[in-house]
Parts: sequence; C-alpha cells; structure tokens
Amino acid sequence: MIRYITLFILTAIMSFNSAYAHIQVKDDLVDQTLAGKEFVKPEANLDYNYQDTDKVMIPIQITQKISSAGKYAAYEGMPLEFTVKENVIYNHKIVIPAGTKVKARVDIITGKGISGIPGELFITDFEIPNVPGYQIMEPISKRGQNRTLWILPLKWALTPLPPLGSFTNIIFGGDAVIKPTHTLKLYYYPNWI
Amino acid sequence: MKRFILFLAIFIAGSMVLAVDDAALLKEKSCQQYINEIGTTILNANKIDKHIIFTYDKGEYKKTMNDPTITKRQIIFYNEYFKYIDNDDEMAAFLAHQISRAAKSFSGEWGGFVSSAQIKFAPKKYEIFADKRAVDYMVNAGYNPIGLITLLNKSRPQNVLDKLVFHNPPTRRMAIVYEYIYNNYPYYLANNVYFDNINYQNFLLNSVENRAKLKEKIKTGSTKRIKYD
Repeated sequence: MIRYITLFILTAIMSFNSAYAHIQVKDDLVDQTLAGKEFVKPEANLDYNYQDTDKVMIPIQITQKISSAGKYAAYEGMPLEFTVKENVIYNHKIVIPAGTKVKARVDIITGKGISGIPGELFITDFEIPNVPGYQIMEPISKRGQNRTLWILPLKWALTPLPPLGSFTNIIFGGDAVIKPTHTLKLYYYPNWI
Repeated sequence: MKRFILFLAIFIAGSMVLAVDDAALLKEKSCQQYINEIGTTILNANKIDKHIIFTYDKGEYKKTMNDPTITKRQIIFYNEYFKYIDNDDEMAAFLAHQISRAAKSFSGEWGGFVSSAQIKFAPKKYEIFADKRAVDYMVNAGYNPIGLITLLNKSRPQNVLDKLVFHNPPTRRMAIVYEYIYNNYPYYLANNVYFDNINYQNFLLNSVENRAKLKEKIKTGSTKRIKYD
C-alpha cells in the first residue's frame, strides 16, 4: 500500500513539474543574442593579501575629451585610451615608461542633479602593460563642479525665510569633464597578490 | 526541607531563564556572524579601504530621518528582512547595495559630509548608482548578481506615486540591473542558474516591455540611456 502511495505522490510531483515547465517565461533576448556564445565566468577576488603598504601613483591623461553629458557625452561601456604622463618609478626602476598607452572603459555615469549635485564619470578596467588588474585601485572617478558646497550654507541661511531656502534646490551641479590636459591619478600596489 | 525545595525551585527557574537567554543570544550571534561574513567578504574582495560595519538588529525597521548607512557607515540588517532572503546571493545583494551607498558617502569634501547630503537630496539617482555598483561588488566577491534581481522582485513595492516618492519603481531598477549584467557580466545570463526560480520567472513576466526596449537598443546599436518604466 505504502509503495502505491509513494508512486502516486512521485507521479503527482513529476506531472506538476512538467506542467510548470510549460508555463516558463522564455528570455528571448538572451536566447537570440547570447545563446551559443562562450563566456568565461568572471573571476572572484578572494585570494587577496593586503599586507604590503607600498603604493605608486600613475599619472594618466585621456587622449580624447569626454563628459558626463552634452557634446562630448560618454556612455557606459565606452572604450577609452589614456597615456602615462611621466615615468612611473618603483625601487629606483622605471616600471611604466612615460607615453605608455593605457586602455580603460567608462564604468558608471551619474548625471548632475538638483541642489548643486555634480555629474560624475567612473572609469575602470585599466589595462597597463606588465601590471595585473588586481594591483590597481579602481574604479577612479571625476566629478563636475560641486555647487552643493556653497548651496548648503546658502540653503541653511535662507531657511528662516520660507520659501527662499527651497529655491536653492533648482541650482544644478556641473557636468563631469575629462580633457586631455587633465591628469588623473591611478594607484598601483606593486606587491599585492 | 521547605527551604531546600524553595531554593531548588528558584535555581531551576533561574537556569531556565538563562537557557532561554542563551538560545536567543546564540541565534543573534549566528545571524550577526552570517551578515559579517558576507559583508566583509564583499569589502575585502572589492578593495574597499573604508571602515564600514554590519549590525544585526532583532527588532523591526522604523523609518527615521537618520540613515546610519551614510551617516555612521553602519549597515543595519533588521530581522524582518530575513523573510525576503532565500540564499547567500540575495543576502550579498542587500549588503552590496548598502555597502555601495556607505562607500560613496566617504567620497568628496568635508570628510564625506557633502556626499552624504547629496545621497539624501537625490536618493533616486544614487539608488541606481548603488544597484549598479552592487552588481560589481557581488561578482568580485563570487556571488551571482541575478540575486539582486530576485531580491528586488520580491521585496520592493511598486508605488502608485512613483514619480513623487523617493525611490525608483522596482521594475525600473530591475531593468537597469538586468541591462548592467547583460553588458558587463553576460556569463550569468547565458548560464542562468536562476532561470527556474519563480521570482526570476516573475521578473521575466513583468519586464517584457522593458526588455523589449533593451532588445531594440541592442539591435540598433544605440548608446542612449533607456527610459525604463
């Protein structure tokens, strides 16, 4: 008797599962654009050792102007190219010569906002010859003009005179811009594993 | 004899209270350890060199003006949140989102005070930023970022007045997270272990329109930001 009951329960579960399989919603975007392609599983950074404190600054300059909005607006995922501005020296040796080309990509872009909030550009995935990615502190970012710095005190000063304090909300921050003349600082930890 | 029985009764009653207290304390401690382990793994794997702590609170969440994530860099996990967490990926999703807000609050002028104020002024903007960054944090720490989609799908309400409230509608957040995973970590969509998860299936169902917009963007090669519903 117990056998029959077990068999009945198993059959019921299997038929429920097969019925459920029919109502699965397909992801046709994945099926049409990613199916059949081989992707490598992104490697997790779990074998770290942050014991060493040596840190080297790499000054880099972009080759083409970009901004968080407007004429030179970048987009997330946009490939970028930088040049190392000066020789990078560690232990009296040049580890990265000036002029070295560095590839990277635009990571996240946040637009400017009310109350003086600036736009911000994040850059990541730096590819520097002979420097492994896990030894670089990334992403780095560049902000636009941060008008919150003077809007906040102004807002507080005007709060006793409503609604003047609220008017400061309509002031926007500046767009983030990276020009070829700007030098960005990238930090490299040569002994991190 | 009476005194002895009275003493014994008091002793046994006292021991029982202590045992109950111990059990509650042990449960609290194990919850704290679980949150610490996942939170700290995310911090270390992502080289976040800022001091952020994780606190388990057995009480219920009460809305206050003060947000300890950005003012004290203390991420509080209330016991009631457990009802939405089904696995480590979803716990990592919750913590990674909060860590990205906390880490952001360190940047900029006045020791991060201005950044914290900006997160308060424009919560919608930084909510999207925190979601995207949470995906990176999860992947670097070895978690599946699709856990963020399933967590959002079951835990965030779709407010009628989403234009006026301080949070993005979850359907928009999930679509943005999906697009971010599609662009940066397609492995997880091509080898989707969450495909049979009922919450992921529900996301696929409620995101048909949004995914059609992404499909169109990919087809046309556009780089414009999509306005998701």
